[in-house]
Amino acid sequence: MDRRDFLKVIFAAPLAAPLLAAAKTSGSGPVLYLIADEPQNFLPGIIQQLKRKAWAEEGRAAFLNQHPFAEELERSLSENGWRFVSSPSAASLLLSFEPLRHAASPSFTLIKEGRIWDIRNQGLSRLWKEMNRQGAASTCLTIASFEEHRFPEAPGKAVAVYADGKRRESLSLDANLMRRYTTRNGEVVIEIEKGRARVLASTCRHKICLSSPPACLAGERIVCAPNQFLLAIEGRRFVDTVTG
Amino acid sequence: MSIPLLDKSKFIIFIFSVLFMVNCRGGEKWQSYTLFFFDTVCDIQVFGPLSQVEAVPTEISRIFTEIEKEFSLGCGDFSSPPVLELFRTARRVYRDSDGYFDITVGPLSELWGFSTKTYRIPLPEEVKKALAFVGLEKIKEQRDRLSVQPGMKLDWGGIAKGWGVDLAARALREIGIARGFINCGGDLYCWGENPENKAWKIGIKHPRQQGYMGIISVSGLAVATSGDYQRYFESGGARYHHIFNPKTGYPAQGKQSVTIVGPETVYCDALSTALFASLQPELIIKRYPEYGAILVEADGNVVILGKAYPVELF
Repeated sequence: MDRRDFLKVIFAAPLAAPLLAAAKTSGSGPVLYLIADEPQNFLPGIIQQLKRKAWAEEGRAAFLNQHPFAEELERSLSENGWRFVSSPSAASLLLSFEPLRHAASPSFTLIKEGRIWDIRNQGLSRLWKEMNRQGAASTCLTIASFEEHRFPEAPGKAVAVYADGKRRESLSLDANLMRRYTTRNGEVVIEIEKGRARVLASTCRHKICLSSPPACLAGERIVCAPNQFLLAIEGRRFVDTVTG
Repeated sequence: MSIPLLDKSKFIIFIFSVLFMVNCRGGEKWQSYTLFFFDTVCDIQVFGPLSQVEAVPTEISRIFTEIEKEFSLGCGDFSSPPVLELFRTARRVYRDSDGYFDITVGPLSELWGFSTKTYRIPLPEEVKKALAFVGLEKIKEQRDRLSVQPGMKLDWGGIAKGWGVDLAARALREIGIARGFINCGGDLYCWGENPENKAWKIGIKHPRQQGYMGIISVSGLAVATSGDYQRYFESGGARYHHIFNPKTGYPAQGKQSVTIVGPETVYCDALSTALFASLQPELIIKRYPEYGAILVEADGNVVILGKAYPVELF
């Protein structure tokens, strides 16, 4: 089904407008529309492909209304790391159901920032074709609304390196590299691999920096206090500072 | 409305000039600093007149260096005015928390290896022996001097950092820093508005996952967190952390983290430890009506106690 036809089908659905409005009330995040019976077979796979986006990372999910495949959706999404909660206000993925007036071919599309995003080219073309080939026409519209603002942790772009309390440089997290820094009190070796930075070796006494998990989210940091050494992940932050 | 090309470029220059003036209003600017004190990173972001902003790292270093000197583990000068002042604050929280906040847990920190990072699980008789030197009521204040029994060791780690943040924030405001925050390893004070002219957004670190469990939006307030994930070791599948129940001599059970919000960092710092260790945290927070707490229990359940502050949990 062409994307424009898809939208026509959606907006022709009875009661769709208030429901769509409701799906947007708690945020302006992306909304995924899926026409398919047994949506549990498709939704986790689509979300999995979208996981490069911070808003599609696993979190808490909730239903906004009764869904005929609620149990199955809950099971399949839970297996993929989503935790279901009863309160929509505590969820970052809101699921709702709307029956279509006329049965339509199985398909999906994403609306983000008021625009239609063709997500078929994001590794989903095979799924799209498969749905169209084998799926029977369906009146089941599943609306998955992602609450973008509920994901204050975004993957970082670069890591800033501070040694002896002074900023030395910023390294892209896209690079895979290992680098050694000499400080007044010793040496620290860091590694960047698969978008994550960590301390690989340090001459400090207690090696607390070595046991710190790799950092990849904007705002995360790894500290080696004896060397006054700091790795700070840079990127769009949703908070001014952090406690804990 | 269409703007002729020349006018457009003038207009753009005007806009940049206005933005510059807004950002450097009367020679004011935002500046961030990263310093190392108290065995952790201290993040500072301030807004104020240029010369005052440039004086910030020197001013903060002066205050924090002094506090580090006075309050290192087992410090000996029990007659210095800062030690006496902070002791009185610690004693108040000790009494209000029914002894769950106790700066005399130094022998326990040593016994479990937290002061030297040579961790070990002590024998029950060793714990019992160490407990003989724990208990703030054993310290007497006589003629402006603390009388500390031999074998006792004061651990100021649960209160001195917060006090330092308060002193530094006060000093910066006095020299004309109108907006900013000082964050020493999660103990922080923020005042004025953030660079977006809103309340400061403080992320609360998730005690078990990467990222945050919520965001507090505050200004003119302090925030501090104690958690079992900050300093710990694992043995036999169990986690042994640095926040002791001063009554048992063992790491306190039942919580993953406690975040306190309130007017003074020194109390947020001490109360986060007290509520973490206590079995009845609601009784303690009742005695501090200006303070609020966000507790993450051992099973991950989140409980909010005391004064309500704007917090969004995920």
